[in-house]
Amino acid sequence: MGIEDTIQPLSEWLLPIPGQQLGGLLTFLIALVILIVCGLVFGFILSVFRNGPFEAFYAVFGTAVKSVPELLSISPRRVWAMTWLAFQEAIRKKALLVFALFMVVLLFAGWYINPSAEQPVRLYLTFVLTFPKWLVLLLVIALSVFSLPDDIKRRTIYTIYTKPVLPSELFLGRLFGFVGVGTIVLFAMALVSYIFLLQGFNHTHYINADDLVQGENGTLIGETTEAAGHKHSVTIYPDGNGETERTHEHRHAISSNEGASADEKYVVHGPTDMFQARVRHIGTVSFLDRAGKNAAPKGINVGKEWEYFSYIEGGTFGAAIFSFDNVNEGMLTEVTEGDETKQMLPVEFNLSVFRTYKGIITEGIRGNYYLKNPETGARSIAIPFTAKEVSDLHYIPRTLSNFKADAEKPELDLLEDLVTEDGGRLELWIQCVEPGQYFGVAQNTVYILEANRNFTMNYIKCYLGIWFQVILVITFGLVFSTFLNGPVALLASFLALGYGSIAGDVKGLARNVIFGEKTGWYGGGPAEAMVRLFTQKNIMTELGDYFWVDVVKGIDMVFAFMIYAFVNMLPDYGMFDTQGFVVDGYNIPFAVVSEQFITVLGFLVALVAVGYFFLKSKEIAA
Amino acid sequence: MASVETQPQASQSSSDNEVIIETRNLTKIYRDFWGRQKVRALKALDLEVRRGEIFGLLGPNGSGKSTTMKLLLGLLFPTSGQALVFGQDPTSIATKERIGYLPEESYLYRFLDARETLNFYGQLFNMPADVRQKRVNDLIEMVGLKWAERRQLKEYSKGMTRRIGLAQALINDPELIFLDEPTTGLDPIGIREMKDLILKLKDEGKTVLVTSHQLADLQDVADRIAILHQGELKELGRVDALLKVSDETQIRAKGVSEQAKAEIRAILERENAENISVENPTTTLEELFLNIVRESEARPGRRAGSDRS
Repeated sequence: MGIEDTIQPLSEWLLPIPGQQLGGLLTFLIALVILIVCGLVFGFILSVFRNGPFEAFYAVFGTAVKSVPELLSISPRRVWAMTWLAFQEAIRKKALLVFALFMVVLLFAGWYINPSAEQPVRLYLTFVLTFPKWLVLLLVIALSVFSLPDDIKRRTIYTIYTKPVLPSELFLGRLFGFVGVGTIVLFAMALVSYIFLLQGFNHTHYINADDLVQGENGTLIGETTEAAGHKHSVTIYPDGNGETERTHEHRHAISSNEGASADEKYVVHGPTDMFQARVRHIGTVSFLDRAGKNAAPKGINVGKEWEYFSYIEGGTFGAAIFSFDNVNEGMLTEVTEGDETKQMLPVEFNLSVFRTYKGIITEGIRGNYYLKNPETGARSIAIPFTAKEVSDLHYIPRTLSNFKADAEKPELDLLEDLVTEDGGRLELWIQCVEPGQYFGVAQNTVYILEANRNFTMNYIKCYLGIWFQVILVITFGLVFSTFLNGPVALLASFLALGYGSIAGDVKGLARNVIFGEKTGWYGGGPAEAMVRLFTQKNIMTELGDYFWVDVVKGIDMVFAFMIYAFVNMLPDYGMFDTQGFVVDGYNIPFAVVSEQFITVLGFLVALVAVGYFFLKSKEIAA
Repeated sequence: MASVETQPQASQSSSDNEVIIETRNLTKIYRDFWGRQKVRALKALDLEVRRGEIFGLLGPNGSGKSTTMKLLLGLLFPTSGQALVFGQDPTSIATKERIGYLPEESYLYRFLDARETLNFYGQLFNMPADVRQKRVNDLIEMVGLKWAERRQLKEYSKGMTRRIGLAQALINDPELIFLDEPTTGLDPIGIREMKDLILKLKDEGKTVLVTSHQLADLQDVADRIAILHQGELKELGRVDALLKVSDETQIRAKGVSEQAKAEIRAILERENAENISVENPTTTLEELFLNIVRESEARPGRRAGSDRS
């Protein structure tokens, strides 16, 4: 999950929205029902071939009936015993050596990760959030897929199976044991990585007081010495303290040491602001066409392949309207300008630019924005800006000039006049003023910045996502190992992991087909394609308005639903990957972690049941 | 199919007649991936094992005795027919709580030590910690592994592994014990101890189902045996009845003089007896070996058997 993705509130994500989404809960239930039906049918067919229809019915029915009390009578002591065994097995197989390997790589990592790079924080964070993840995932895959097949091969499982152990206890014990090992290794790696992260950037600059020159408003300006491949511009305020300019993704605070010699007068403190967890208050976006009419969820398509951005045309009435809810005083921040401290609303723009002519490439494209109350129609005057195509933080003053020439109210208060009383809604209109140029915007590109959260907590949340992946990978590995031998289960686990990384796209495709979110589903599904093949009609030819066409399309819709259900039976590992948030310095919303947790829980329930049935129906000594 | 002979002992009470293991028309066919028949390992086996008896399954390799045991343990599912242990399906948890199993080779976790092993299997029976600890201590003492209880099983000799395997089979104080080739890999002393233990288990009222290649072992301990060959039951009955040679007579006595022997021979010849043999009986090699070891342990340094010369 990346910063571009729309993050729904938990309740919205769970529940269905007619015509738009099935919702997490309904998707889970549908997938579960399909899984149960397929399991029963498959088991019955297999049993019919082996034992005949009557015995098959008895066997399948008997297993299904017995499974309910068995799944409910799990003994914690037996599960603990199996957990302990799995844990011991992993430890005695020297699974912890992976941590040693990690430490060795980390020792040499400093040589290859250049702290003097332009964006060192991004570099370091990418490393410490990627390398441990793959190392632990590989470890737990190897542990989970080989454990059970090894037990069967060495026949140690005989001594377990002849004891009063339920298949579910066997499965859960291994799951918990390997999750325990994975957790310990991951936790240790996360901790060491965190220390590595903090220590990796620790550097010291110096200032010589004699080199400082007089700046504006009684300040002193100058430069620090070079360290870690960079130096900072320095501003010392009249009170003797100061700060450096933010470069290489950090700044330094400076304090004065009265009475000391010139080279010891100012103390440059350690780097700050490196690791951030900015909170985005995201609104919704709609677009007006070049005439300033027809609000639509999408703007102009300029033909770029990435459909994330929609564009507004410069020099027209075309605009992107961002609507923010619950705007309140807590979002304002105090900014000092000269001697004056003002309350301002921090809004960050991350606009894209599409140029139909080159223009002056270094200057950016000009635009303006204004705020509007959607209820009263009150609006501020337009504030000009230049789109920089990088994150650009704008502080919008609380008091803004009124667009209307109103002698009684020449100024508007952002909260009192521009935000609606009901729901605290505020509209931000953005326009491009240069004809022939376009601004690219999307829902998550313009947002109000709320107070920063704790980076450490954000780091933990990111690792929590990795931990969820570890749990899923182990569970899938174990399920595969209940009916496949070790190497094949290993391959299946890798395929599931590989599929998991593109699952979002596959789900999107299935969803597009079912909900008709996207046009261009030419030629239909397998049934319609078959009809077209035999009738020799190309995909653009209409089949006509006949009853049988509806039937064919209905069959295809069933196929689409089946694909949708199937793709939901394997996890979308992308939703657990929140590295993008941390690397870009954004807070991981609580909703994301909650959705990850619920998803893992859903998969666990289903997979434990699947593992139980596979083990239950397995002839261990065959 | 061999005739089924069931002759309950006159002294046995009614509870001793309780059928613990029952197979009805039990058949197992191994198939390949496509469901084609590979081997018919067991053909319509009908068997009953009663409470308190030591029942031996005999047969050459591939005769179906291991398959029978695996079917009775729920490790395999029958192709047709039925196996019942304590009147229930072998896979049921209630059944497994009452049985113990010593596999052919000790399929134990080699990275655990003896104490960990027994503790682990004790937990699988949901035994409370204090009961488990006592049981573990008793069993370690019983199998004589106190001195090696903290060594990982991978460091154990084959005999030691068999002993700890036996201990895990008895961890739950089972009513029914399955012993698959229990004497394999043991030295003569170990074999003797194992046989003594099996007899001790019988004395405690436990039922034992034992398979073995060592015919002499089963002869010594089993009450009844079943002989399987190519998956079919060939013989079933009490060991003494099966081994009894009805048309021959053996007289054993101590202190018989040469003259008396001659007279006995003369009487037998007069009665037209055939294959007459009047001679001193020989002991078994096992008995000789055990006597030598016992003597050597009692009087170290002295050459064993010197008295006999």
